[in-house]
Amino acid sequence: MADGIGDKKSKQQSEELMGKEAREVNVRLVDVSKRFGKIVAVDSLSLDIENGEFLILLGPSGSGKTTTLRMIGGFEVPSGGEIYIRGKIVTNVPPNRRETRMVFQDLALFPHMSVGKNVEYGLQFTERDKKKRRLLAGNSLASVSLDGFYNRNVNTLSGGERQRVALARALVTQPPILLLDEPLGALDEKLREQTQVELKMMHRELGITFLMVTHNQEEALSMSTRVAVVNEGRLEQVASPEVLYENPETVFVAGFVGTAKLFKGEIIEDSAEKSKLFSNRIEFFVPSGFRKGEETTLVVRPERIKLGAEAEGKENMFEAKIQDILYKGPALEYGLILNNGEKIRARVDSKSITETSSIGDTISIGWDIKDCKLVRS
Amino acid sequence: MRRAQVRSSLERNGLRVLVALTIAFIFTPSLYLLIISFDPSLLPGIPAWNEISLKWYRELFQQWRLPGALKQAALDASLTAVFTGVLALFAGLTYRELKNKAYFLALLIFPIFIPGVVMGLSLSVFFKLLHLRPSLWTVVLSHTLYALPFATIVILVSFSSLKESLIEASHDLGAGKFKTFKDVIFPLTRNGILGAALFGFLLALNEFIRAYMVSGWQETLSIYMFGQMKSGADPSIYALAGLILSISILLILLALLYYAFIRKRSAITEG
Repeated sequence: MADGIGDKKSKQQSEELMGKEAREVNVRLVDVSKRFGKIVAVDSLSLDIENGEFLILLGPSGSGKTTTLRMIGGFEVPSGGEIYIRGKIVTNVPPNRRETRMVFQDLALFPHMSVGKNVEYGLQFTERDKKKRRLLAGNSLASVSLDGFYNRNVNTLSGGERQRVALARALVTQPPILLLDEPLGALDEKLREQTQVELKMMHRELGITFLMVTHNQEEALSMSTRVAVVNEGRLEQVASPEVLYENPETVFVAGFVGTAKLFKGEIIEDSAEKSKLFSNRIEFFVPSGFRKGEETTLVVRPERIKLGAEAEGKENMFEAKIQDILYKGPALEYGLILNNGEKIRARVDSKSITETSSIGDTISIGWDIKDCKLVRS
Repeated sequence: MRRAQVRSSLERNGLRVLVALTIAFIFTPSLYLLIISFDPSLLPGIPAWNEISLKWYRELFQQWRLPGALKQAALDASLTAVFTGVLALFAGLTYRELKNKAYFLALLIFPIFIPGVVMGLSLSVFFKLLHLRPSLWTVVLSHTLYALPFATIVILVSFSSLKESLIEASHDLGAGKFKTFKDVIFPLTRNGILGAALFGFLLALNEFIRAYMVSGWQETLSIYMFGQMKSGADPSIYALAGLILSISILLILLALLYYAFIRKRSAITEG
């Protein structure tokens, strides 16, 4: 740039932009890979985690989600790529010099220290005043409703209490980023749900970034502000829970997040309003977007399927035989078998079924084009 | 049903007998030695009640070479304990972070399979090459070498119960390597480290061949006893054996009492 002033201006602008980015993007992964010998655990994964979000890494076991979290925490060094935390490259920075705090899967409470000493442990590196440390630890314990637990032995606590101690210990130093490695795995159903609500509330109150790993898609949908679906070391889709559920971009996401029936087939007619898909001897009306001859997969969620009289007049309508009926409180779930032998599940409001139908009966099933999605095979 | 019960009680009694026989097999020789040490005759056997005497013990304490040998033995065993404990600890810490664990372990454990005579001979030749005069230090070095594989095994067993996540949690909370060792690894494996050092102490105390080949004028306890036996000296050697045995039994009883005390105390605080 010949113009000195312009140069300065653009530099200033870019600095402003960088500053803005640094504020908004808390964790940035750029082409991060991790290989263990010949096994590729994480395969050039790129992801921006924004300040204050509750991002969940969701994937089946062995998908690389935990390895990704561990690289962000500093427990694994990437084989390739860079990791930025709050604008700084931390790819090779050891965990004790990172701003992240981790809640471990097995909680990793120090068994030879009291509850209070566990919580206080991380404070000694930043807070010199012993009294203040003790006060902060006490406050942190109080924030997870464990007032008066300071002198308790960690080995005599219940699962839920241990969970809270781990949280208090991680949060006492007020980290900008909290990492959670399947923290609810060891809890029983009821406590799990309660902790989900509490964690979500805690996230809202603290306003810091939560980054959690889970294989439980329900947990991911209900807790997070954004979900990153990981499969075989690669990122499948990053989106809000609603978008992920309603608009899955890949077959894997469609099948893994929520339940869905997938029909793999070929587009045989395409037009502006609707297309036609041929799959296993059945023709479906589907949304447009794919060209004739393309292989795609049709995704239908159980709750979008209508049965009996309600199915009449739907753009896609078939006869199906009832194989099983599950009573699920507010809903009834039907296991159905189509003429071509494909099985499909439908979930309807318990009250919406007026006619009595039982196992073995033939029933109409149907859905409109707007109730189904196409994803690339 | 009844037959099964009868058989199981038979089995149980059979097992009890077997356990009793095994224990007897282990302890009878030592106890016999202890008993005959109280017989004043020149060819000691089991003494009659009215013959029990401390004659050989009195003789033992008049031998001028014994205190020296005892002192050397204690020094040798203590130094070996410290060296072995520290080195085995380093070996254990290294092992944790290694990728090719099996090779490292094989390398460390291999010296166990070298016969004592071979090791003693090679050490004495090697020390000569280095112009190291036979001394307490050559004995300690040899004993450390000898005890290290055993002590390392003890350390590794102790480390295997240490969860990796605890170390990671310590790093995560801001502690560096040394701090993590001091606050987390050491407190949780203290017993294993002490056990490894104790192994070094006992092995050094009991070892004869290597010590015999690399020591100069210094006599360890084993060398002293061997010398006494070879010179066909008086039965005060039995008194020495009895003394060592009595002290060992006393120490073990104390340790058991201490353990029971700790258990009771922790039961109270947790209850």
